[in-house]
Amino acid sequence: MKNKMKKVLDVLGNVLMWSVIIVAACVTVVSLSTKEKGIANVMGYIPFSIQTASMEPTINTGDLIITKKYDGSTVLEKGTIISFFAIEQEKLIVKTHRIDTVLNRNGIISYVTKGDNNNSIDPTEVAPGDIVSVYDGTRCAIVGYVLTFLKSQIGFLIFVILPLFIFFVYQLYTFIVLIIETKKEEAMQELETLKASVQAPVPATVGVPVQMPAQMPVQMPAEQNVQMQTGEQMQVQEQTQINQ
Amino acid sequence: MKKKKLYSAFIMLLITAIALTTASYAWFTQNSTVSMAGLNVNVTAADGIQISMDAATWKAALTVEDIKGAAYTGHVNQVPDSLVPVSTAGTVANGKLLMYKGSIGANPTTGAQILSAEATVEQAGATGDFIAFDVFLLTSAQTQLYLTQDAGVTSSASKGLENAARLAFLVEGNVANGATSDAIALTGATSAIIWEPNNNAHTTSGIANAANNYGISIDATSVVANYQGVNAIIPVAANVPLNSSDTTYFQTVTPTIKTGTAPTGTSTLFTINAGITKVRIYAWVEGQDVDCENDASGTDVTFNIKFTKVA
Repeated sequence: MKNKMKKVLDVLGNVLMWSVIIVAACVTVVSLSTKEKGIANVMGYIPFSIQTASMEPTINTGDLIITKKYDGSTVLEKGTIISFFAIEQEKLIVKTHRIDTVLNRNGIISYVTKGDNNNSIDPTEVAPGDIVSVYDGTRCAIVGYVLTFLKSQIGFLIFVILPLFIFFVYQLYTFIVLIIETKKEEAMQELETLKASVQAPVPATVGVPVQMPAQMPVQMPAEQNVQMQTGEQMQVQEQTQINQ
Repeated sequence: MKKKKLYSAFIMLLITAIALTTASYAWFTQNSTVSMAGLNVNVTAADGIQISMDAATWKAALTVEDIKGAAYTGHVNQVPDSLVPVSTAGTVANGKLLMYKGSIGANPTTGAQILSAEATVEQAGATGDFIAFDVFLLTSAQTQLYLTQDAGVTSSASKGLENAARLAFLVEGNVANGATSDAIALTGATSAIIWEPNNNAHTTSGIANAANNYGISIDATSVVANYQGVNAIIPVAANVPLNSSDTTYFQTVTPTIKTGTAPTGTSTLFTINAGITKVRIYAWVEGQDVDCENDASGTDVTFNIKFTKVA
């Protein structure tokens, strides 16, 4: 029963740890990815956390949407949802609204935009250079809130750095304990081997027939040093050259 | 079996160490990125006018980051970390505004305060005393340009620095749409349109400065019609007093555009032709303004330049 509980806890612990590592990796990748004016770009895909209700019910507050970076090479169509830079109250912000009208003044393209939940069009036209990305339809409810919090200073520290630090310390402890146990085992094995070699009996050689080959020249060195090893038995016989 | 466990434990230790290191680095990186709140410039265009830092990528809004980072190769855009009072009489040479940086000293004989000034020329980058940059305007037809009602200069601390601010617009020339390199090469400006925002606001220190150093009696909402802009290098040995109007060194400047703290409408700027028009914009703290005094320093300032074609 106790072993079963331990196993379940072990599995749960591993699942939790891997979940934290995966989430940490995702948030870290988004944080460290290419940034232009604070916008994260992960291989051409740009995630946005929606802060207002201007596009409801198409996109809700708190949704995480995935958009594709816009390179400015094509003219966008009416109805396309775009994310673009705008200055409001002296601050640069990113808005995500739908293209209401495409204007073409002697080749100069600009877009009139409007939030689905707004009554009127946006006050300023959007030029192609203001467009950051185009919404591709991918959105995850609530995840935007979570990502915004995780990317905040406190959220990142408490839910990413701290758990990773705890797991790291735990893994370090486990590793050290395993090293100690492995060393102990190796020492025990060596001791057993030593004991076994000291107590083993000397095997008998009387009555064992030795077959001599037809011609067996045996060369005896002028001086012979014989080194006796512990546990080994070595019989040295001086033989003259025998011709049979 | 034990060795296998050891290897697995080592791999897990390595993975958590890498995850912790990269996450910590990401956290530190995010938190050490400081946005410069001291000096800010926003340029916006409405009603079909588009603006650009390089005559190629057209936008409706430009920020100080664009001015610093998105300009064309070979630009001379100067955006310092802080502004130092300078003065100009509006004289333009080679498409650039002549600026002078003043110093206050003392007359060795009388002990009275004297002014000396040296020329200060813009360089690309973050050093310098004033802001100067090129912006390109794109329009499909000849257009009369205005500043919007809410264009202006603001400061969160309201210490009076915004009352001594000035902006100038130098129209360098016009080319057809698409002629990017021709647009960049334009330097045909011969005059400057000087804009004085917040002309009807003065702090207590500004009022005292006007009386003590310029002999001008004003109150908190007076409009000072003009001032003596520096028009030449002033050597120390010339012993020029602060309130001098010596035409050797000064020229009376009456700003082309004057707006108060709460403008009631748009302000007429200039007319631009169809295509790309290059405009050089300057923003500075006018040293000869009565509101340019010590108590006004040490605060943030934001220049909001907003173009429209709607009167």
